[in-house]
Amino acid sequence: MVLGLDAQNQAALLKVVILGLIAAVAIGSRLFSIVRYESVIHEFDPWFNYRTTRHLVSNGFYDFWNWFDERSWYPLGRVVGGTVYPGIMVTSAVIHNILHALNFPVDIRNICVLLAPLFSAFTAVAAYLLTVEIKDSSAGLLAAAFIGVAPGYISRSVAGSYDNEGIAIFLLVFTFYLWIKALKLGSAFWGAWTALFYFYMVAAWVPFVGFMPTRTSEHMAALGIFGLLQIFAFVELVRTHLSTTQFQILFRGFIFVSFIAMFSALVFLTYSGYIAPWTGRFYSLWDTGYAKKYIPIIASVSEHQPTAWPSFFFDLEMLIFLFPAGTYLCFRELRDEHVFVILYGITASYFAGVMVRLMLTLTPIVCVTSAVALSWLLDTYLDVSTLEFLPEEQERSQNSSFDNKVPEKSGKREKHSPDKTKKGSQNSSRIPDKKKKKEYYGILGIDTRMIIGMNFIFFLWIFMWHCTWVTSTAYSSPSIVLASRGADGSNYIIDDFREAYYWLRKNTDYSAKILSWWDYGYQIAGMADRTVLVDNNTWNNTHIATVGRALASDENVAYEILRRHDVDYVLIIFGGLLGYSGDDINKFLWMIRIAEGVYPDEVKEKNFFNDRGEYRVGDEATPTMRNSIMYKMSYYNYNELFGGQATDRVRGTRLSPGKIKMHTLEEAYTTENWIVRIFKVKDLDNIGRTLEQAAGFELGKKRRRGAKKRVGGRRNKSS
Amino acid sequence: MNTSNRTTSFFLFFLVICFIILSTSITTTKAAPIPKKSKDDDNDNNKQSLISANIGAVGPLDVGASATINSDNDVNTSGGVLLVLLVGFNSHNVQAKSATGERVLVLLDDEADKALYSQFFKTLEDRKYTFSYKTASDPKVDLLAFNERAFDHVINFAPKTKNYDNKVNPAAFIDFVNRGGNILLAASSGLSETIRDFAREFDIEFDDRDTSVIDHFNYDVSDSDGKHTLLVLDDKKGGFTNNSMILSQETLEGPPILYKGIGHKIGTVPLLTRVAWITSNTAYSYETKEDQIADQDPFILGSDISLVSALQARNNARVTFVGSLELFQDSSLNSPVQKINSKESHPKSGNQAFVDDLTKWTFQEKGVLKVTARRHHLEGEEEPLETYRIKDNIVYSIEISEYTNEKWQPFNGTDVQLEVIMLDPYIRRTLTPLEIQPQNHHNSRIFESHLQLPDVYGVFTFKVNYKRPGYSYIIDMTTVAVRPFRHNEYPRFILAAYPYYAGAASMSVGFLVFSTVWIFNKDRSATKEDKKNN
Repeated sequence: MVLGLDAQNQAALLKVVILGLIAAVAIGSRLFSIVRYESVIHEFDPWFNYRTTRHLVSNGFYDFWNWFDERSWYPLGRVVGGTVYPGIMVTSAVIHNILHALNFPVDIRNICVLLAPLFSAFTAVAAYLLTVEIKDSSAGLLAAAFIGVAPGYISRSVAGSYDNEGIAIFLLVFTFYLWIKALKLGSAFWGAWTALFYFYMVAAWVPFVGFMPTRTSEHMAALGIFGLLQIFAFVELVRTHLSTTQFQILFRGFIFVSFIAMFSALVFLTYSGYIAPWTGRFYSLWDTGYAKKYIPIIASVSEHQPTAWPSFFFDLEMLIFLFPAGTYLCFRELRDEHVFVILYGITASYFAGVMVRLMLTLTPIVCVTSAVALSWLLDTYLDVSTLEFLPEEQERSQNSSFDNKVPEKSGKREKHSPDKTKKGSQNSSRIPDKKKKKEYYGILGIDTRMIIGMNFIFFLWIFMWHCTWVTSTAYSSPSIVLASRGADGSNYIIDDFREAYYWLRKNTDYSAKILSWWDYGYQIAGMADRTVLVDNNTWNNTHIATVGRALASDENVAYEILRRHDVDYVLIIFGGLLGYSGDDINKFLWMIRIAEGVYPDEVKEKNFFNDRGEYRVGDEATPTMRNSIMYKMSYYNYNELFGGQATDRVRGTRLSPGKIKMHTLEEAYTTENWIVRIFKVKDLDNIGRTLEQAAGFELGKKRRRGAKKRVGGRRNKSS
Repeated sequence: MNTSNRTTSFFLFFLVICFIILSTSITTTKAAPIPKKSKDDDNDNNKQSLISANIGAVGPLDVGASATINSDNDVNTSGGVLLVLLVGFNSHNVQAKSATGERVLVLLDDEADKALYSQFFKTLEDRKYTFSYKTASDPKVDLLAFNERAFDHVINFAPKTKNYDNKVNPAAFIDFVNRGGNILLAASSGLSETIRDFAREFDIEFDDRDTSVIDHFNYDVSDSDGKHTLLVLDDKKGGFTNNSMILSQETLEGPPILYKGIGHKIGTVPLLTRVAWITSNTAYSYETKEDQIADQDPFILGSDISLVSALQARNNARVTFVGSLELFQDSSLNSPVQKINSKESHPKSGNQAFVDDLTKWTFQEKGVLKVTARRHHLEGEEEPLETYRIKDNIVYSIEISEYTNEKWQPFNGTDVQLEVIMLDPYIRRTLTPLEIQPQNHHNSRIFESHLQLPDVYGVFTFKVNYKRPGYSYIIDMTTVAVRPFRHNEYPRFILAAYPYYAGAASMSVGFLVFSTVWIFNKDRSATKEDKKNN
């Protein structure tokens, strides 16, 4: 008796305490980014979510729902209310309002920053509940511990990573739990909860659904299953009213006719345009090369790339080899919930192989199955009760009865039985036979237990070590602030992005329009509060292609595009000085490809590859490349910084000497480490010259007199 | 109103004096010369510098952009930031007849040349301009003071000065124009390369040095040296612009004009306007040296020869090029005119009226427009919105004043157009000029249009782009967002949707009925079964 509780209550208390500790660990390990940097929103998409949340908090839900954002996608604007995933914003706003109602004046930013860690604690609890349904509570605790620290999930849920995935994974796991619960109990109560949480998940992950499920091919399968269930119920009904033979004939005929009818209806509706054909994103799930060929805008996103195999180990470590074992164990029992787990595991692992991003959906099921496998192993090897019996007599009574928690596995056990017997007999000499008799199965030898036990304690220790290390090194960088280490181990903070955005915020007109590649759209809108042309919500490919075309064109063509879109400033990312490889020159090929997709006559990718088929900067760059404003802006004044000839440290190339001249753009701001460069678009010349002439005049160059053409063409030599 | 203005003016004046004293004492530079001006003059200048200093403090990089184009949403500001702008501040107590100011810098090749143009300068002085006469080579002359324009207008009568050792060079002149200053430039046959370079920036190509426009069939009888360079411009219909803003009716109907000087050729810049040119085919431009050999073709012939051209820059600064210094001299202003082989003779040339017109236009006394207000609001309402809905009916109006006869008056144009633009113009409409309301204190006319916004959402620009030769340009832009319907703005009950309403209603009713029936049936059968079982 501890604390005056009986064994059952002690177990319950322990579970609660353990779950509480797991939740604390889950939250704690996600706080690296706050400790290292500060409480800021990370990356790109979270900035949009943060901005919309602020809008929701300050303007209310009605305004949020009907929000037309005129400060992005200039001049098209974006209907935010109808296209956004509202779940996460509403969640934060509700938390914010509750806290404020309780007189906790917490800033909305901190709520947004800490939302994902908070929900990761919930996820751990949900994973526990789900795994309890699959196996038992010890497996559940393991699953909770795994998902609490698995890097595959942490990658999207560190503090500051304010994205839909942060709450959607919790909702996903919890919905599955409720679904399995409803399935097992056949209870409408649980079914209703499932529906409710499913709705919440959809709200957090899928934009306002509307008629999508009936109008797009992706959703046809679900709709078909729904239809099939109706037919199935109908058939069951008919069966009760008819004799067997009659039913057989009717059934076959009915199946045939309904299949033909539905299929032809599907084909007809698809061709007549009622049902949208498969979208590109869907095709790219099956053919990983598809996107690169047809929809560069999808392929250009790094998280849409196929997964490299080391990243499975990086994100899941030992879970990845426990995962098949767990799936196998599910096959051995094969109840409804196990079938679900198997299906989920198999499809998720396929899709995780296709797209890096989908590693996230694989992680929960891997944690659950691995927990099942590990818990099995521990059940077998750490079952203390098997230590307390007389081995000699019990050896031959193996197949009598088992602990009801352990499923049947007679084949395997018999196979191993001689081995066990041997160990058992060895052990028998050491273990004093003193305790009462008890039926037994499993492992007897303490050495085997020790080996396996120590081994897995070591594995688990390494797993924790790895998870913490990965979280700390790989997933805790806010990516708006970079850190690097000097040779002496000192830490340098590279804060160029915020420097540039703050400059924009303080030094440009409130209505200034900023052109940049779409990656930085959300950040500019969020941090600089200026109007952008394109952002990370890539809803209008043409507009993005126009921006790509402007950046890939020479000055005169680009100037017309910039003027037409009222652009005041152009912002680019240049890593050449620092060796920051995620810069715009490295992304440039994607811009060109996307632009070529829409403007095949104006932009040609092959013009950016030199004779040897290489994409180069410096001396070997093609003329088209050199003349593009992206190239000119990137290397503008760069040679002068080095007093002659500069080296691009990302591409490892020496640049061609000489000054880069621009007449339509002028440098407005360059950050400390040259990562962000901002250029101002010049106005038309006041007195009607071309900007090239005006720039020439500024430099003291006189206009040539060659324009003088004599009427008859005769001209004396002396003059 | 006038008294309050005075008080404010004096207050500002003292502020600025303090400021100047402070700044000079701080910087401890060698007593930077403060241009001596009349009191009111100083006033105007100082106000300007104060205000621009404020702008400068806000964002040095943006001065140009924010001062020139107003694309934000602040409407209804009567002071309105205008593209047209020039110097709106002092419009009520302007002393000179110009809309922009009265400080004139006169550059001469030689101080003594001033006497040649006494009559010309006298007429300008009568129009209350204040003059600073300098030689172009004077090292102290500077167009700027404290990084502000020190003059409103420049008369450059120094075509021969080759090397400007001071701060007055082509780049400074163009900077002066970019800051809104006006230039009247007169050339002559002895044109220096510096002036030629300057003119070339405006797409005007003067012929070579020592050339003159020659017409052996069309010269004044007084031209006795046989070179036939004193031309009589009497083709008032064909050889002069008929723009009533630049040349008055009086000039066009008056006596012929005497011209002796160099010709030029104009390029394709659309901002350029030809004011006077040659119409006779017998004219050509050539050197007038003694004993010359005609070994090359002339640079320009006949009607290609331009004599006077004007350019109005995008910021409405005006620059006029005249190929003849003699045009302004007392001798030709008072000279009788008689064309060779013609009996028609005039006691006095039309030059006086012509140069008056040129200076009036160049120094912003005529054809100056400004926008005093712009408004947009929903039909039947008064308040402007930042965001309208698609297909909203709105009213757009703009108020425009014109500066004539020394005061701002309602503009009488009828062809002011409005464009509603999102990448492309969706609506282009001529605005209706309204009758003047007595309470309209802006002295401006309202141009109005009632329009329905397009069925497309996005950020639209209301743009009035009014550019007519002779008038200052108006580019007035206001951006508004046009949003789609809100979710509860759609019609509630539409006929086509009745099947869906019926579906939803029948489903609800059916569910209720079914549950009721099922609940009661269940109870009865359960009890029966129970009984059976029992």
